[in-house]
Amino acid sequence: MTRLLKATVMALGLAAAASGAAAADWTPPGPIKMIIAFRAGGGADTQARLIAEELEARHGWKIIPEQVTGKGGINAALALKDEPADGTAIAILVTETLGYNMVAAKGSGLSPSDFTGLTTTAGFQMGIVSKTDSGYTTLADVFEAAKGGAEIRFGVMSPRLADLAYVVGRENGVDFNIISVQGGKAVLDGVNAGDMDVGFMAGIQANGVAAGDLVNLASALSAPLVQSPDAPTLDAFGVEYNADGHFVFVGPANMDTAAADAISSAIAEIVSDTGTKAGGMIKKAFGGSVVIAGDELSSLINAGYEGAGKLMADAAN
Amino acid sequence: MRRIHPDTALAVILLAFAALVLVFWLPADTDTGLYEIKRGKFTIGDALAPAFAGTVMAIAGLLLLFGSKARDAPKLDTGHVKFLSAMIAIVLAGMVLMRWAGPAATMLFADDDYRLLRDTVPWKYLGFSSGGFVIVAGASSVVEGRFSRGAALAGVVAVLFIIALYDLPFEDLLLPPNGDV
Amino acid sequence: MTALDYILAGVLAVIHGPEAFTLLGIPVSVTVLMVVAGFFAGIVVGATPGLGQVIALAISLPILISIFGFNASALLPVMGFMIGIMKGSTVGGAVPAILFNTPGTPDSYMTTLDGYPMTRNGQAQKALRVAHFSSVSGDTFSDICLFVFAPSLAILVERYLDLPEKTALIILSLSFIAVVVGRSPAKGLAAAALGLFFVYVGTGEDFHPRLSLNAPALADGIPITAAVIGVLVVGSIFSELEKLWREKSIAGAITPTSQSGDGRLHWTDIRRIAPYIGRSAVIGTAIGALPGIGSTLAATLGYASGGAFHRRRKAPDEPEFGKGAMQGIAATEAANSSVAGANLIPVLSLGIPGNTAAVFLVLAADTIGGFNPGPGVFRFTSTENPELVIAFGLFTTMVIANILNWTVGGVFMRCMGIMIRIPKQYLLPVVLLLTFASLYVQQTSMAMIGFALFFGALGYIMIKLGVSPLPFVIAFVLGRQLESTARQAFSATGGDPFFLFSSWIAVAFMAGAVAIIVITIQRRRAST
Repeated sequence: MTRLLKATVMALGLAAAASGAAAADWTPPGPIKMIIAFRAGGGADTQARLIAEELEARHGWKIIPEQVTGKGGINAALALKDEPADGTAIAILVTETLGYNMVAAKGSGLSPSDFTGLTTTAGFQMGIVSKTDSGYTTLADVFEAAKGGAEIRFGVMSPRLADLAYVVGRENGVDFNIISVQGGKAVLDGVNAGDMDVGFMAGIQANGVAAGDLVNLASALSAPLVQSPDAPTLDAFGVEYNADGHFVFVGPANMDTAAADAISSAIAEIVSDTGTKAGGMIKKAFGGSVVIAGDELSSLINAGYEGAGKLMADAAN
Repeated sequence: MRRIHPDTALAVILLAFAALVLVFWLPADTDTGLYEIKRGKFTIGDALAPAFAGTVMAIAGLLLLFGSKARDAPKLDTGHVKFLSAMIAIVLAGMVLMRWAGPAATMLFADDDYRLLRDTVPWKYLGFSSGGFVIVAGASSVVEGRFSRGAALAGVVAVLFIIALYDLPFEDLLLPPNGDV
Repeated sequence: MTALDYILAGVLAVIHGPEAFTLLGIPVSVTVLMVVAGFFAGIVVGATPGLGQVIALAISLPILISIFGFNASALLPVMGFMIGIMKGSTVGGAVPAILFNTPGTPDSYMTTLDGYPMTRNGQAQKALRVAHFSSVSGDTFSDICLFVFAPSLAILVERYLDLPEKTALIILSLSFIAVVVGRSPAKGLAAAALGLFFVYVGTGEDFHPRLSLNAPALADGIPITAAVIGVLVVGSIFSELEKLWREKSIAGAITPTSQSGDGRLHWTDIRRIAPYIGRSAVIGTAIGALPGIGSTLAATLGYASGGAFHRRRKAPDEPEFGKGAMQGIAATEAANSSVAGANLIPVLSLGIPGNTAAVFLVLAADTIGGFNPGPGVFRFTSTENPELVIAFGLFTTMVIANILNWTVGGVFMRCMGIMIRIPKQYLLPVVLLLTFASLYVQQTSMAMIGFALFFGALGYIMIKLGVSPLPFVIAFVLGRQLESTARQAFSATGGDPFFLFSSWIAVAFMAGAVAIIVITIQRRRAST
């Protein structure tokens, strides 16, 4: 019964895709392994699994999701690197993995040239967040409190963000106690439990901000946050860096062009369609899809890799 | 010769392992020390937690070495070692079959790579069936001291049962070794 | 939302969740269905010698996750099933103990002492009924304590404990578990140290995976499930198989004894066993609330205390303890069953799993995501805190399992005598393969089976050397949390090397951690 159903769905999906998408011109030679660099159950993982589901339904491809977590996506990148480049192996990472983390993980021997960028799916709504009852309304209040003698604990979930938090403090004459944790949920929990005063959150704060329990003190992006457009960006505080970042699908280097085009356009279509479960979820959790593909994606990834060294060196001072 | 008390033997092993970890393994296989200075501050390095574990292990070893010894302390005899070795050998043999029976068969009898056939019957079951059978029938046979019909039956039933449990109802679940290829 | 709203939301999340089917016009939710299924499966597993709740939990976890997926709506059905297994297996364990003198679970050993004599006296049915009634009463009492104490304790913890104190609390719990569980404190400490060591392989904050010997399989650390299930399940399967191998002859013929009397539990019987149940329920609950001390000790203490009481109180014509006294069964079963609910107090209020069942709940929550058992759960925020709803949902599943247990559990349990006929020498290898397969489907890599074999061998050796595997398992589960909390505490205090002694609460915890080790060792020394 389910097989029949699947076959029908698959046929319909193929018919729909044939009308215009390049996806129909390409059929994977076997099941596609989708490496997910995020812990099971979080928003990022859910996004990947929903995309996989929809790819199967639309195109009849067989997708096998596999979790390879740890070391800021480096483990997943290592797992993908030597897979065949015929479109039967892809991975979902964050751009930070291909940038800062690859520079920092010297021992891994990885660089963005080991991979083929397919498409981004969404960006982060990265803010610097505190509890509303802390009394802060903007990052400037935090600096003021710190200068008044308060010890400020700043939660971060990656080395790049730790560097950023350090530079943000230094440029404003403040010495934060930077607390590194695993994952955005841990920062949220830490701030809620009072173990941290402020922290970076990449979208997970949305419900709390909407309810008035949390407040975005600043946008850590180059642009204002969708949810709190009035929160200042970091350049207002004399910081030249930001925490821009995206979820990105990649394949191994020198990927078969037909496969790369088919997969990236298939994913782009799904995430841009808010009618799909994946698209709807991305809209809700990450403030809408952001599709960057092709040459634009390559230059984004390369810029991230080359720019990473600068922040790293600056934070080492 | 006086027999060594089992607790003493265990203590020596623990102390040796703790020393190996603390003196050789940790310094060679961690990049950050017990602590490091990052962004102008002291932070805990990657070596501290394992060093703590190693220290507790050494303390436990010392307590065991100098503590009072019960006369009836349990110990490993040759029977234990023999049995465990047999179990390990059987499981390892099963694992080798699981991993390589499918690829070997496709190399001989199919046109495609095993990787592309890992979702296709019957190829996808070859490794699990052969390896699983060896593990179940092998372990039963060791216990019974002979290869019986019951053991073979248990092997077949186990393999079929697990395929029916995991593979048939769930499209996304992979039996060994289909996620490794 | 107020506390009452949260409780209501929890109950509704269970009862009004996604519908499985409609029974006589009443919709039955998936979660309720799963509790029921888990409960009956638990009775069967408990009644089968050689199996037990740990094996059942290990095997069902990946199946449940595949059915329900990795999202928060999977939590209640999956954990509901696990709760069902826990409750069911506790009751089921008494069946082979009473009928065949072979305890289905280690805790039921004491039940054989009076249960089997009653069977031989022709009172098997009555013995089963006493066991069931006492078990359910103890369990219910324990659950009520959990519902009351876990949230209040959690709120206290959140209010008074900062990162340094949380670090010290984990150290205190670990040292307590290490020295209290087994017979030898030094061996317990060694087991905990090994657990910590292995969990630190491949993990850490640096991009170089520490201690990994450059093996890719170790680059993200040893998966918790593989290590825990390896030590607990594979190790004990090896150990059981070895016993059979030594005996060569498989369990002798079972001689049925003729049964007499109506086998019912009369009101007068209940009145006679009630004081024993009450006593044992309090003992079991108190012991269960302490991390690491298992139901076996509770059963022993319950039986001993009941025995002392019985000597003073018994009528001259009543049998003594050990000669087929139903009070003996009541004292044991009430004690070991009342451990179950209270055992979840440390995990829900402190985030510290104190026993294997709690370890599996943590594994489930960790694998699915969206629920971190610990004090953070009990935050009564104005906007819905989904974790708190899950917590009250979990309590609701326990109530449902108890209601089932009171109503149909006894009837089902009394049919389980046949489970002893399954030949263990075939069953256990099948379970072994099932365990390997279930680990593989969770994280598709042959390395999982390799880890399970390695830790199985380690677990086997630990059992044979009289080292309890529990400190190992709990240290493995808590190891990462210990390290990350310590790192955070150190950073949060601006790099104070004495952060573990930064407040009187932290100092008290650390002093307690050392004191418990010293005192236990001295007392053991005095007693040998």
